[in-house]
Amino acid sequence: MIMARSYETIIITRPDYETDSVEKLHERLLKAIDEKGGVELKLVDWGRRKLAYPISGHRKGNYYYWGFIASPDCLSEVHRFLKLSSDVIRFQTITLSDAKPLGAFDIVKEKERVEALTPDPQDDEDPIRRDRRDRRRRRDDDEDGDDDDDNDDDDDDQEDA
Amino acid sequence: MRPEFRRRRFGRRKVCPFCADKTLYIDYKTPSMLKRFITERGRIVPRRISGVCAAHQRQLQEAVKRARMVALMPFSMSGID
Ligand SMILES: [Zn+2]
Repeated sequence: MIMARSYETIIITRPDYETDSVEKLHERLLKAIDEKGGVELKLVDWGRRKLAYPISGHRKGNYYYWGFIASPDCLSEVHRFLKLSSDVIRFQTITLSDAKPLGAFDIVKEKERVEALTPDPQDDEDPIRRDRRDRRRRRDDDEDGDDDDDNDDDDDDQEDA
Repeated sequence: MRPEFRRRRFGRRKVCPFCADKTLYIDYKTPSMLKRFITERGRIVPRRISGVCAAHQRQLQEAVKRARMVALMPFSMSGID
């Protein structure tokens, strides 16, 4: 009996990576999964993003999110391929589920899980900052509002330096 | 008991933003939200300053660590624009 887990992998490829190469990459990943016992859940192209720090001399990279179910063999095959690929400059896999028999997975449920765990990182709206900004606006509209300490965040950062 | 100046210096006691708003989900894939909890130098703000509870601070640390690995967040801001 094959035991498996669901995973999500972030794959970053070189910025000069061609679009048709994505299909090749995807094909290879699917091949690894088909041969060793696994199921693809979702592949999402996050597009080209600026890296927070340079990797292998690159300042930008193409991000892909890949959700899948895999046996240990299957996962090592996926990782082996990603390590060997000269187009992949970084990848990271996160375990999402406990180990269970491959047949015991509720694929629809796993797809939903992956869906829920796929916020778009291009969306730069910070919910906390938005909330503070809205409160500040309300206070500005209403001049006699209480003196809330919402200018604290950036000042506090200095304390830790 | 803590000296009085600490309270004034760090402001009044804050509530954990993640306990206050259950819809806020800590995830390494939302760097825009995580950035709220790191300093200009890219370090995680201590919870005595941010007011984040111990359990959520652990989740935050894990998320920041993961975000750094895939360059969604910096390890350190120094020397990087
Ligand atoms: Zn909390």
